[in-house]
Amino acid sequence: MIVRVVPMKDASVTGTTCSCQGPGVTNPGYAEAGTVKDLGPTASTGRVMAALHVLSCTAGGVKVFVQANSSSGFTSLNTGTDIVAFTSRTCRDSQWAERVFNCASATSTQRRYWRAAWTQTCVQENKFLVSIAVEP
Amino acid sequence: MAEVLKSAKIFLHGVELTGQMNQVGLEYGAESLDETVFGMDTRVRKGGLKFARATGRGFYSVGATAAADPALVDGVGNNAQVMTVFPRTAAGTITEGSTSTGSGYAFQVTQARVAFGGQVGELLPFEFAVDGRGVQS
Repeated sequence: MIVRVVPMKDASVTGTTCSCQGPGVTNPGYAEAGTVKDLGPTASTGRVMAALHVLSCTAGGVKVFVQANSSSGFTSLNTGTDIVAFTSRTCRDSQWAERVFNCASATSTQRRYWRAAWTQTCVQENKFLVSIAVEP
Repeated sequence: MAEVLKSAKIFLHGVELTGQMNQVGLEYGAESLDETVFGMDTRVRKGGLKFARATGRGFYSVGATAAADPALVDGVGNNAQVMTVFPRTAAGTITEGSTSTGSGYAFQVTQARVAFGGQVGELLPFEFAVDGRGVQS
C-alpha cells in the first residue's frame, strides 16, 4: 500500500553531526531531535507508518525514533513517547514500520505532535531520511 | 495548476537515485471485481485487492554504492526495501513537516526488475520496476 508521507527529518544531503557527548547522555539516550510538527488530531485508534532510508552512516551507527506527544512543547529530548524505534544501522539500509496506537489511552491522549529523534556517536556524520504517515 | 516535473526526489533502499533518473512513475490501484448477477441492468463492480508499482528510468552508472549498479542490480528480488518519492520539492529541497508542497509517497517494495542497454553513441540508460510488497492479513 502506498501512503502519503510527511518528511520529518531530511538529513539525506547534510548529515547529522550532533555535538553532544555521545549516546546515553540524555535518558533514554536520544542524541538529537528534529522539529516538532503538528500533523492534526487523531481522535481514535489510528495507525502510523514510517519509512526510513539510511544513506550512509559511520562506525557508531544511527538509531532513529518517531515520537509523538499531545503537546507541542516536548522540546526536551526525553519527553516524547517512542511510537517507532527503528533498528540501529551502521550501513546503507531502509526500514518500514507500521504501528497501531490508541489515542484514547491514558498515555496517548489526542496525539497530534510528532518529531524524529535519533541516537548516534557524536561528531560522526550520518545521512538519513525519515518520513511518516498518520492515519486517524 | 499544472506541475512541471523537475524537482522530484527519489529514494530506494537507502540510495538517492534523483541525480541518475529522468523519469519516475507511481501506480496505485485496486482490482475492480465484477459481481454482476442475473436480473441486474448494469455491470456492478466491487473493489478488490490493492496493488502498487513504481517505475523509473535514468542513466546507468556503476561503481559507488549509490550508483545504479550495484544499488539496483543487487536489489533484484529483495522484498525488504522501502521506496519513497517526493514528486514536488522546493527547488530540490525536501521541506520537513510539510503536508502540502513537501509531502511524498512511500511503500514497502519488492524490487522486480532492472534493465539496461542501448545503441552505440547513446548515454547508457537503465529502467527499473518495483512492486508493492503488500500486507498479509
